[in-house]
Amino acid sequence: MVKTAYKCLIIYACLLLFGFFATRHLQYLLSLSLLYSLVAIGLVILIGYGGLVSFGQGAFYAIGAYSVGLLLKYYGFQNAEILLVLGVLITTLISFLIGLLAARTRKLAFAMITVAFSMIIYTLLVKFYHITGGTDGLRIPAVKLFGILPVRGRDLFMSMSNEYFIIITIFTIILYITEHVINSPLSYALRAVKDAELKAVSLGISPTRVYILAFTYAGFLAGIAGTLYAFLNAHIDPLIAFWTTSGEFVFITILGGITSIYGVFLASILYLFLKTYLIVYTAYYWQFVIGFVILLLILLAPKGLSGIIFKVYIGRKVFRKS
Amino acid sequence: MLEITSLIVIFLNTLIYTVILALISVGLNMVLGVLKILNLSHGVLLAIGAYLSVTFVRSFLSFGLPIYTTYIALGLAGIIAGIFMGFTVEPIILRRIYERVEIQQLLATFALMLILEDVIKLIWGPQSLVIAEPYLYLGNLNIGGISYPLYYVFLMVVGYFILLITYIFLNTTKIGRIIRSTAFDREISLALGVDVKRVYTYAFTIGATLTTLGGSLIAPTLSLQPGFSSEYIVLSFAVVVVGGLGDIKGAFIASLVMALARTITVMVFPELELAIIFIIMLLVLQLRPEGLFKGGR
Repeated sequence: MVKTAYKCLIIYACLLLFGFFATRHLQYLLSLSLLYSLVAIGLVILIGYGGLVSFGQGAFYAIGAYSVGLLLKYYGFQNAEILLVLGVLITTLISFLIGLLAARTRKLAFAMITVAFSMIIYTLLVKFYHITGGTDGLRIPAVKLFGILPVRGRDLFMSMSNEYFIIITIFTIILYITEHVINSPLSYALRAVKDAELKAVSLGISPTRVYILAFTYAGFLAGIAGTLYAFLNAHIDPLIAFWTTSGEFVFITILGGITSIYGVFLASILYLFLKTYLIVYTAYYWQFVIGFVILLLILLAPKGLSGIIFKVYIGRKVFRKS
Repeated sequence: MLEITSLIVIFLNTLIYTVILALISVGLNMVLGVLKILNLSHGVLLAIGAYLSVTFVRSFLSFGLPIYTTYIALGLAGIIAGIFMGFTVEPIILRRIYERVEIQQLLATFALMLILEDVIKLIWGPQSLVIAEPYLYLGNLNIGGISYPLYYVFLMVVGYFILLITYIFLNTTKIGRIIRSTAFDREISLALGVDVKRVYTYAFTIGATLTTLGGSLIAPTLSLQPGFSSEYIVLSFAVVVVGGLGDIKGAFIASLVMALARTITVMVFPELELAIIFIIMLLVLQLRPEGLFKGGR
């Protein structure tokens, strides 16, 4: 456990150091990829350990972002910490309720339930435009964290921006917690259910309960990412709830090698930087390149990015988690 | 409040929406039933059919052919797009992922969707396209004071005709029976001497053609934009789930149910217009999680 703490501290130090020198645009990109990897870490637990493919994480991401937006717009909460806590609470509650519905199903049916749910959220966000702003989305003003630190701005040391500092701090804490979750009895129960459900049941594990917990945790992570996204981006629109966004999250998870949280961390950074610079250089055709890369990866390297890296550079010994 | 004319309009709307949903989801379900792959890129086939019919209709008109020939152009575009996609996508890409785990299949078809969407942008450009000629040529139908575009009636008749032909083809011809037997049990069919590889290609092509035809039929009613198909694909997921995976008759009945639910909701509570479809999908998945999948996977 001490080892985990050191690992997280090293990552935190690297991220801080990056923030001191990088331009604000790079900081924005890295913040966004950290948020994506938060969602993808939830998917690591669901897909990698639980074997359930959720195509609905975008919905929880959107619920987190829109709870912030709507609470700000209609109830006038001005404290970022209250918005953050409420946004995450709402998302976690909803993901628990959806978990209750989805945990009884497996495989394709599970994926379909999550797709259905995310599309319900998307259509509601689009159609109730007098409340949610429809496809135009909502603007998020810069509120203050603990009454002193605005969630957007550059009041900190050197070139460090506030939103980047907040996001990397929360990200590191979540990384530490998730390491504990992955080594907890819950995660072992999850793996047991994935490998042999009947056997797990005969050992006294309730698959439904385990899946509900895993799903809720994944929703919790997506909720944190969503609320922070609202602070980071200043503008939110319903497209983040569309099923293609969830598809991106699933892709990042698989790119990262589905069982490794550091793998998805790298994968989301790679994915977002690739996407951004492809948009810069190819304008309309970034999807083509990304799709081509995904296809090649699936056809040639089914174990994902961390699979390749570990196979080529580090060898089998380190790669014992999967 | 409900007069006879609005009832007729509801009835027509339902039937038209049914045929659009059915053309996509019968195609999707055929691929799912025979190839056992949930093809996320199926929606793009709809877009390809629609975009190709823009090209065909425009070139027909620029050759100076009369407007009524554009209906032939629509049909031709749908069939050519479907056959071309069927004979390229299945052998080149899908064939390599049959043995993979589900999630990789999903991701591969997702990648295919991204690629094909950008290919569309590459060929037809990112701006929105309109071909209203076939739509405007037919004019309006007057139903008790409400004017109703006659093109929708044309779309409906042709659509149901295509579905009927597909149904007859699958149930009476030899190839149709072979396709159904392969969907039912791949190993036994293989043992009986069926060339399963070829059947897969044919089944995919038929499914693709149904969808591209659907695309070319709805093309004149829409303003085509890149990415418009990703909404239709989730709608057809909903239909396929409600009708049962791989069940072609089920897909048609489910299309009818969904279309009816949608048209009624538009009248009563328009904000829930699309949400209702996914709510039904969620309910069906909850109440019959295994029963729906019987005969499928």
